[in-house]
Amino acid sequence: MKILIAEDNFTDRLILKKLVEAQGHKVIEAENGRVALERIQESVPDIILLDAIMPEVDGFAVAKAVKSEYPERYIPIIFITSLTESESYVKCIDAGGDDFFPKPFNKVVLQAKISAFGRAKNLYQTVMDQKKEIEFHSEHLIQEQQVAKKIFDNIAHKGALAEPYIQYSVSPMSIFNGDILLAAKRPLGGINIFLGDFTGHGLPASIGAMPASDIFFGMTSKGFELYEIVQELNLRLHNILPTGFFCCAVVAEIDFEENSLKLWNGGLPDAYVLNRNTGQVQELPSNHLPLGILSQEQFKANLDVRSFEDGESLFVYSDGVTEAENSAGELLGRDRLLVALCEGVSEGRGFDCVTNTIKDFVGEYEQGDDITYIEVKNHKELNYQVETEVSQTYAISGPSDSSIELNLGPKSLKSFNPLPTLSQHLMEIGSLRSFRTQILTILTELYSNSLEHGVLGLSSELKKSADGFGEYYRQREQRLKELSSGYVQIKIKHEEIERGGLLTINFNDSGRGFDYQNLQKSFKQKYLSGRGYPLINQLADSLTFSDGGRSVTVCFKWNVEDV
Amino acid sequence: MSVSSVKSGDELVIKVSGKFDFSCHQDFRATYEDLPEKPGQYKIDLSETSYLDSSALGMLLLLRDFAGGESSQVKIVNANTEIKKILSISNFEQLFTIE
Repeated sequence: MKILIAEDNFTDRLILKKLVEAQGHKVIEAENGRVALERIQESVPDIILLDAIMPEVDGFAVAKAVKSEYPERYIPIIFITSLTESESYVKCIDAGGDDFFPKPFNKVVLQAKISAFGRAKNLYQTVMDQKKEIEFHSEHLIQEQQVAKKIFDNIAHKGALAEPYIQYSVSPMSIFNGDILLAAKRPLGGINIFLGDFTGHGLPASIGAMPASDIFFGMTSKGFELYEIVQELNLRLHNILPTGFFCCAVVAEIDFEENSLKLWNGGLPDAYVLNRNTGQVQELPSNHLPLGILSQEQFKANLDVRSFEDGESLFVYSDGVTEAENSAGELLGRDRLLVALCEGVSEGRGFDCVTNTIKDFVGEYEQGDDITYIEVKNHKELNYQVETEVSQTYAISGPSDSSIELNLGPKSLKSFNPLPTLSQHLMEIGSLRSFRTQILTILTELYSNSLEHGVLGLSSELKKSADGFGEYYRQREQRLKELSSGYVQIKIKHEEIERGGLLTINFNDSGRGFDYQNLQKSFKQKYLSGRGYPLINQLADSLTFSDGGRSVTVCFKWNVEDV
Repeated sequence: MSVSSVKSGDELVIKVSGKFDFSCHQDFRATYEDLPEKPGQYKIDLSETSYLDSSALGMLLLLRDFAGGESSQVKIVNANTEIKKILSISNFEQLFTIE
């Protein structure tokens, strides 16, 4: 070690120098305080042996200067002293002294003191190095999280969460607590919601959120059915998450036109349907294992289907809400949440009441888990509006003079959704991409009519009442399960015409057909609106029936000017 | 928090006292991983467990996997009402025998 000896008495300095050098240390000498400070400037010593009373600058001033100049470093100062009064000791300590070395000098005592401070210095250095390392890693981690968050924000963008009929609460860094909240508009109107709670915290919890949001947004925009989205989410998470990691989730679809709600709850607390008109709060409990646990063969994406009337809203939350803790360590609990919901339901202020309850309960107390919750109100879409697509011009490209034919037998009808495949083919025709929503709407309506009213023979009358709604879907599922014969044939043709194209879609089913004359009359009178054939009639250039209603042909013409 | 285990015959009984959360991770795994002989049945005694979080659910799934997945015999016994509620929200009765 390098040891500075500051002592104005030449003899004392020499003795000290010999003693210290005998122990194998390097010595720097200073005959007064001023020189001592200069020497320290040149090269910082490991330990300072300091006389208190010196000419020019005394030892107290040197000690003070060293301690204030090098607050980050540990430079032990040992006062050389013959002082006897305790008051002077106090002065040494106040100035920043660490120890005393009394005259007359004792070799063994000096050796003990120097090696003790040497050990303390090493320890201090180790702690400082570790502190620096920790700071570096922590900074690094924060940086990584910020980058990861940016990437994640791009993938799990807000989507449709900004819609006026949605209120939600989610912390900006919630992704690192494993919570994920997504909303996407369905191409045919309505909205899909996903609230997931991954096990664990930090990066491992957020990794699963990436494919989950990709699947959710991608499949929603391509027009996949909710059960297919849920199945795919489970399959992907099952494949990538190690055992013991999973995702509790609610996945829901709200159709504002049909006033229907489809919901899948696996492992999240009860979701609620709040009815503003009746003041009722109804539970939608979890009846599935969370996503990512079961293999595809064992997994069931059975949805709860119910009507969702004007004035109703859906409330979904993760357990961070009920596990919100106050300063006394109490949890918010389900009861307080329910009280808040019941308080707000009649005024349509369920969300606000929950927010206030949490705020009042938690106060300023730092939040442990994350709080994620959302309320989606049924807002009547008075006129069904086809979304204006991003205006982008595409040249005529792809299979612009092609036709495809798809025949679906009973087995295919049970388990296969042809719409994403068909729309994918059609979207290969460059210029048709601008009409994506209209075309997907037409295909969806035609397919569900052929399947549900044609092959399965279900009556649309059922869907007109709230009770009939669930019944309709129950019967649909039942009949589909028992289906042993029947078919839907789909023929699609696209051809180029002058300044545009013509798309001809024909659906043919094995059902009993229906009285389409009345339907066609009603188009002219225009008092029918909404979904189904009236909607197709609005979107397409022509809609014609044949074969007693079993066959329907739609023509869709587009011009370059419309693109 | 403490995890203890007793082997009786072919059955391993694991008891978790206090909070069953991530801090039990090492201890919980140690009870079944390093046994000289793999037990045929497992019983998780939650009579003294006050709280259970999702990482505990994950640990139970890991045990189930270790015990043979589909063919495993894992019983969860003596859970209090709160914990039973958590287990049932996650529909764990589909994977474990809960008594």
